Amino acid sequence: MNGYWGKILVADLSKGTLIDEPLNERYARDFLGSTGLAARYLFDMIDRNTDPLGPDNPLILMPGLLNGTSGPSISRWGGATKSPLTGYYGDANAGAWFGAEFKNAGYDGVILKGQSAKPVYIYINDGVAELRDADSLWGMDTYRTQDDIKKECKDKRTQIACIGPASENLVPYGNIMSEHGHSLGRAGLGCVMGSKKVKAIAVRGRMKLPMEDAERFREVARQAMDEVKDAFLTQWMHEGGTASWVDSAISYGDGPTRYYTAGTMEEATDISGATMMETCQTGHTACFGCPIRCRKVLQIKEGKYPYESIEGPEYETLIAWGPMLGIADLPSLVHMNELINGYGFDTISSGASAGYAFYLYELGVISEKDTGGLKLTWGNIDAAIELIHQIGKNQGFGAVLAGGTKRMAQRYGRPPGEAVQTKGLEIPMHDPRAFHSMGLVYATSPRGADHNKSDGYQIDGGVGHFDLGLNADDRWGDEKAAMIEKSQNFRALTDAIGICHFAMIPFKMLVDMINASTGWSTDMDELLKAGERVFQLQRALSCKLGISAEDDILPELIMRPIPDSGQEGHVPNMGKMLPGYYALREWNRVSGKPSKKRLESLGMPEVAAAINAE
Amino acid sequence: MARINIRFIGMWRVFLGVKAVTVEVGSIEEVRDYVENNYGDRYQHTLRSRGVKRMQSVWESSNILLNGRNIRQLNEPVLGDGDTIDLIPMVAGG
Repeated sequence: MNGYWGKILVADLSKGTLIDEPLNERYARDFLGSTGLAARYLFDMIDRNTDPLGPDNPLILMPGLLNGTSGPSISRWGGATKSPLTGYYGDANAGAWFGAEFKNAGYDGVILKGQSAKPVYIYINDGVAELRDADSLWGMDTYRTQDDIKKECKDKRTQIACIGPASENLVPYGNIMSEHGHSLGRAGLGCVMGSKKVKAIAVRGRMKLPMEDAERFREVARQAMDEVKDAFLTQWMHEGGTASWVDSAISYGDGPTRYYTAGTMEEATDISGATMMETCQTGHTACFGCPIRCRKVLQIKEGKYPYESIEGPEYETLIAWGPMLGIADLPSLVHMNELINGYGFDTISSGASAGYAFYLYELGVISEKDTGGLKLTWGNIDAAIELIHQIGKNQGFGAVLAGGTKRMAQRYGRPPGEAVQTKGLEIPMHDPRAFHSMGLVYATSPRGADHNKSDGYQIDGGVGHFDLGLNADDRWGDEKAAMIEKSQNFRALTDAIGICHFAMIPFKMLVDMINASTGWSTDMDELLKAGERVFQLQRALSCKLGISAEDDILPELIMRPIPDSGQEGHVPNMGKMLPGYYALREWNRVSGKPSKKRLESLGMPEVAAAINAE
Repeated sequence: MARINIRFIGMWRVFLGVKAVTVEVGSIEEVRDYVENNYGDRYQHTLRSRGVKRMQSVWESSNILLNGRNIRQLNEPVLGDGDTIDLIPMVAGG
């Protein structure tokens, strides 16, 4: 089948074997790649009894369908596993250069099974894979790990996805990292990799992917590149990066502050993308084939943590370790970001867990006796930095935070609704009281609270999908079911293909690129149906692992109105939004399962049977 | 006429070189005219310098809040003294 290599690398770490298995072409045609295809394989391999950190839980990593091609901004690759943080379905995807090199190295994916007795890494070079000793790498941070593997491979163009000490220490939200801070950043995929004692996967690919019509592909990709270059969003994301949303978040009340007890803090403008540009930005970096180049290179001259040249933090990190803790000091946040990426853990779940600790400290629920002497007063930067080290080492009070907010609430006998998470995954830095649509997104996303499974805040913030007919509406409106269903399907599709959220590629060109690569005769309706198929499959897998309709809720703390700070006292009306959404999705109001009829109409009768869908 | 504050949020302050202004205007349409007449050319110049060919409008590239509410969802909004208009660039977060 063109557009694919036709083989998957299966690593059995318990046996120390690497075996090529043929790609399941039906799965590939229906679920495309990355998190879509990985979820389909995963569905067959796990159930409620699978221990996330045991040998039977696979970690499945796959490039996006069009990774490694000349299509613009199509760098994103992904993976899926049973999450050690939530105990349910977990997936994540990332940009940078790994996905392209992965795809051109001759495999459609890697499945890690079993557990190695000693540290290893997998090296794939132009279709040939080998298992290598990683004893000397164990304990290294994610930056040095990559440097050392590149030296060992004697090839600077080798791309590496690795874990840091956090995942070695089994922090449940440990990441898989590549380059300088690109992460498969949620749900603990790195922790599962650590449990298998796999330090890294290194890939080098010079192979030419078989395409149906390579010339046609190049022609359409060139046109698509011009479209992306000239798009409004491209210019803005290039100049300001994701951090430019910080200032927008202040106006909207969208940036959770002091553990969701405030909508914003005005000082947050000091950590915004605009402030970076005005004070310390020296350049940009880009993912593979991307003209947007949204990542910032900074020079920090002053303060306790100077850096001559360093990649800047993204929006989620800035808020999660900034205003969430009452902090708005840019040089400190740059340093904290650098530390966390070196240890390799999720800035969102960790920042939210730290925020919850600060909140409990303010309430008097915990004291310095619990924190090992740390004074968790809002704005205490030194305490925050110490917590980062403790989380990364999974030691001291940091070991409590490493478990996430749901476990923290249980540990301290607090109401479950005080832990701001859904299905065990911490809510990202877009407050549903500022954009009601995000309430629906967080309640229904398959892996738990996930801002990337839909674009609710972006659409109501003005970045619509014109080809989808989705345009800005009242951010406090509660008629959001249709918009969210459609944009979730779209994002499930673009994630499977590997497209960045910021790349405005016209639908027609996207379809033409896929057809030129694969030889299919698909169209946008069929592709959007594939997006729905992926989303419903991931939901079905969540149900298979034990979630039901009662898990589709927002925590009580985030439903408390805040009268000012850009939110003006609004809270999403979940009682109104959820029934409409369930009806559109055809989900059972009690079990939460997609209906048998809907799953069958999407070509998944075996999935319907496996979850006893009605 | 109402004396209102217009705030240029985030990257607008970098692109247009202005953070906030106070103006006397009678309607939302007059706010739009004020913004385009005073800052439209500066925005085009900024875009040209970055190699962008397409014409873009400051107003149309913004989500516009009147005291926190999106004006596109307000029915014939009336301006009053002390009101705040936020021009927020249509960007994405992370």
